[in-house]
Amino acid sequence: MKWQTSVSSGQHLRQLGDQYVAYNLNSGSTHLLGFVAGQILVQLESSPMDTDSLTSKLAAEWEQNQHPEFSRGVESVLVELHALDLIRVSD
Amino acid sequence: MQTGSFVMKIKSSIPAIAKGLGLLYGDYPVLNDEFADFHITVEQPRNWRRYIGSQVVFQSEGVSPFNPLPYSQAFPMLEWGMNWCISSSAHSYLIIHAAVLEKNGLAIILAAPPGSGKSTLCAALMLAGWRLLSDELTLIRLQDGLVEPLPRPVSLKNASIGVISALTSNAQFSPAVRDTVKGTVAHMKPTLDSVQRANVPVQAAWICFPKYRARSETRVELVSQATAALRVAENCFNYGLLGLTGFHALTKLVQQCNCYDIEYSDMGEALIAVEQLPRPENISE
Repeated sequence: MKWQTSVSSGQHLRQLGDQYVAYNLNSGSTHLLGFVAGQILVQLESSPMDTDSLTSKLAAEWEQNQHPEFSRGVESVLVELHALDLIRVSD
Repeated sequence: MQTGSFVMKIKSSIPAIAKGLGLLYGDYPVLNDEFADFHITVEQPRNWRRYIGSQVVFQSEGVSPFNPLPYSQAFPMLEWGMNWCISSSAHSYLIIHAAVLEKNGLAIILAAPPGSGKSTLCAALMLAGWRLLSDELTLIRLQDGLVEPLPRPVSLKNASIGVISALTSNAQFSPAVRDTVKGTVAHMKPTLDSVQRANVPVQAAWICFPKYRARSETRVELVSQATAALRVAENCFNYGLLGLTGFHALTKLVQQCNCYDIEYSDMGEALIAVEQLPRPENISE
């Protein structure tokens, strides 16, 4: 199962310092996101990915070991982003 | 009458309106053109309401957005009505419920809910030499992100009327009107410089969230730009209406600003704190 951003234009996400704000075109809501959530959206905007691929890519970028705690953290953020309708399962 | 970018044609036979306009708007350009952005009347009702005490009704383009108010509240009603006209229709701007002032070519936005001391700090800054851009409506131009001036009288409420009166012997105030929905209100005339340079837009450099708290130490704390963006969005009149355009205007605005919480009880200390706010790194001296 791959994830993708709900809006693919990239115009709905802005990095402000080490945080992000995201605008949900569907709901009209604006969300304050932490660095990890913002980075996940950036990655998914470039191409849809499954959870394992996304975790691997983030771990490589941040020079982290892909230990279980790291993977659980990414999964947890994905659940939150899905609940906010900022990501959805790719077609 | 020209107030910032807007022309208001005001019709009223109520003496308090004429007196208030004469007292507070004497420096504003009066135009003889037929054109006006808003055609406003403040009059006593003509229907059965005229028999229920003495009331006044505000209308713009024939629409009455408010319930009638007591006759004594005619001038505050005109001020609130003019704010309504702009906030409900000027959608070529991101409209923030915030005071905004300028010094040395840079604007400070004071965004806070009612009762936070926003207008009091705004009036004190104006008396300290800052140019008033607006006390109530910060207009961010969508085309370039600059702050469009809309200098109009500063609305002071309750204890703040005495606080600001004590700071100056030169400023002019409208008579205090009691028992309004906001308590006792009085309006303070903008400085001549504020009115004369109403056509000079400004780049914003600071967004502050002031909060008056009795007996508190003056405290200035950095607020992240992302947090500031959400707080400002909550204080906008038309952010939801503008959609993605509003999001772009908002994020562009906060990206160029340093953002702070300012808690204060001593006005002198608050003024010093504002003067000492560092310029954003992207703006040279």
